[in-house]
Amino acid sequence: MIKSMLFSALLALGLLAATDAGAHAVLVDSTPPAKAELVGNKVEFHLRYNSRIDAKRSRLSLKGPGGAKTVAVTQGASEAELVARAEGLAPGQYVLFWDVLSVDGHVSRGQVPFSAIAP
Amino acid sequence: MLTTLPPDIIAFLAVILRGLQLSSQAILLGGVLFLMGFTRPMAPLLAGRAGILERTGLRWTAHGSFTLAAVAIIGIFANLAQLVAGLEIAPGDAMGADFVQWTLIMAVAALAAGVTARMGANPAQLPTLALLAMVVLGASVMSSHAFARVDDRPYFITADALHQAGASFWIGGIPFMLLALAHVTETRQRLMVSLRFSHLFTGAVGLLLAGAALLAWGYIATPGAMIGTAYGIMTLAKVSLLGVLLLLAAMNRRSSRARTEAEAEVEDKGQFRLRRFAEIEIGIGITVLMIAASMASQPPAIDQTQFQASVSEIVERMAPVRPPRLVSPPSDHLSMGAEKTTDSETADKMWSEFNHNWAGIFVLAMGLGAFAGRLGVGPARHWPLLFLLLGIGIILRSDPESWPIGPMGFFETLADPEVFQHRVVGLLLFPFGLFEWAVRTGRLKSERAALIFPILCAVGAALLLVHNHTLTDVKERFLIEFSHIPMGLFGVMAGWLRWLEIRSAGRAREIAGALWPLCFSMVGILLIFYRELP
Repeated sequence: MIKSMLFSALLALGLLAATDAGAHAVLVDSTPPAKAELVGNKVEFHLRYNSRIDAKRSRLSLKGPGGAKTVAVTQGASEAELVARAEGLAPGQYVLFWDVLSVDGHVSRGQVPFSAIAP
Repeated sequence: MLTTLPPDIIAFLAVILRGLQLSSQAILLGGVLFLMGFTRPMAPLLAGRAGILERTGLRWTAHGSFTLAAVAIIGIFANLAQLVAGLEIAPGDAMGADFVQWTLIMAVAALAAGVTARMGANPAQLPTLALLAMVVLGASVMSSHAFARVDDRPYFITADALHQAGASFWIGGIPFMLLALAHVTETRQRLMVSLRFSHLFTGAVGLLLAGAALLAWGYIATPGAMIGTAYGIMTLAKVSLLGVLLLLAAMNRRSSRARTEAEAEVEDKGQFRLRRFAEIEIGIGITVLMIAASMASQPPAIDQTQFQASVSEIVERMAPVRPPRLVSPPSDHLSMGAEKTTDSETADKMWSEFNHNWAGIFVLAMGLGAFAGRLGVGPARHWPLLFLLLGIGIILRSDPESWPIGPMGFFETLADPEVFQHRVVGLLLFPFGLFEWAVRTGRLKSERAALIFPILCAVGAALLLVHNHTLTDVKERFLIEFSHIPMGLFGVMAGWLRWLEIRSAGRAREIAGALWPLCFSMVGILLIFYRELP
């Protein structure tokens, strides 16, 4: 009887690792930084994280005056860095949304707001 | 089906699975320790019992392995679903993710370990089992923070491997020690069993502490990060519970170090106390594994330099500077999903304080009721009925935007992990209260019924330890977590001390019986003075 009680306790406690798994990878540094003002109609993004990121399975999307579009992403100088480019930006407010997969299996999300101004 | 679930719920399931994975991994590694470190080397001293102990040990190890394989396979599906639904990655591409590959290796190794443990005895059986257990351990390390580090990866992988191996051997080995003690009856043999496990566990604790020190050095690094981040305070919670475990282990060590049989009978007759302590060590040990699983979803403290709370901010929040909030703001002042204003945000916090403070009054009343019942005050034995009121309060008021007081439906808001946790806790309180009331009033007389309360108390408190507030303000979320962790620790201790009171005898029973209502009352006091506003 006690064995079954202990097993139940073990199982019940096992079910308790109940917490949101969204805050694992932290954006350490970004170019452009959050709330930056960019002059021109194109931008190169460099996002650096605290952990190694699976670039192939991470997603960036850009939302701005022209609507939302997915941005192609590649690995940067290190495994913790993502690089992407966007061109043809109209002046206005933009938000770069990042959804990244850390190599330990955690998906993290965040955003970098910035604005583009005409040269 | 999984792909239709909201990403937050899938992420929530992934963490639950990580906790189950660590628990079943501990059984597999504990089983290997038992077979290679106890039954084989001690066979000549165990007379005819070595055979049956080995067969039972192999059966338990097989159960642990098959459970681990199942958990790992479910974990792969959950992770694939998260990638496919959340990141819109093609299933074939998602299969190539490192985490999926390592978990697949773990599942195959665990399955092979289960099959090996179930095979007939042969010379290759134990070495194969040990090798497969090491593959499982390796795959678990390779799906942790350590493998994702950018710098000093070999250091973190080594530290994590030591830490996980030590924790698994120790926590997973305890049920096997109980198995061995249940199969021997003579005092001399019991002493021999407990002494052998004492040596094995000392080694396991050494690995655990060495790994912990290296990880703390790498992941936390500064005292400020230790107390100012969620990762740091969860580490402190783990250290506190580890302290309790080491205290129990030290007392067990005394039981096993008696020089003569007569001394052993005086110190701990029939190793009775040791066996009872071992039961609660399993419970507390697994709580520690669960905290570890939930820490896997937090960034290491060293990476969270931007939002660390200072000592003065923590003291400012935690000091009981004003009376509890006993009157709630009107619900139409709350933000309830709409855009927050300064006023609605203040009203939200007042609402939360009101809920916590009133819950504290109920919990303190129950703790005092349990104490009064112990002193022989008759009507005090009905104290568990207060749980029903508390459960109703949590379900009705915790989430003002959802059913029954808010505009959103019951199932609509269940996708929010915080609402889901509140509902589970609220519902859990009904069987919790009713069982304990039936036990206290003599309606239920079995020991099994009496153990429902401590189990659910420990489970509920462990839930508090990993309770998540989905706030975007990292520092605010930390300050709330900071206040919940001591409540969780007192709750876990209340549950396991009550377990000890029921299952133990003599002085241990007396001390546990006096301490658990105190721990329970402390949860109430902390809740009464909980606040989110200055």
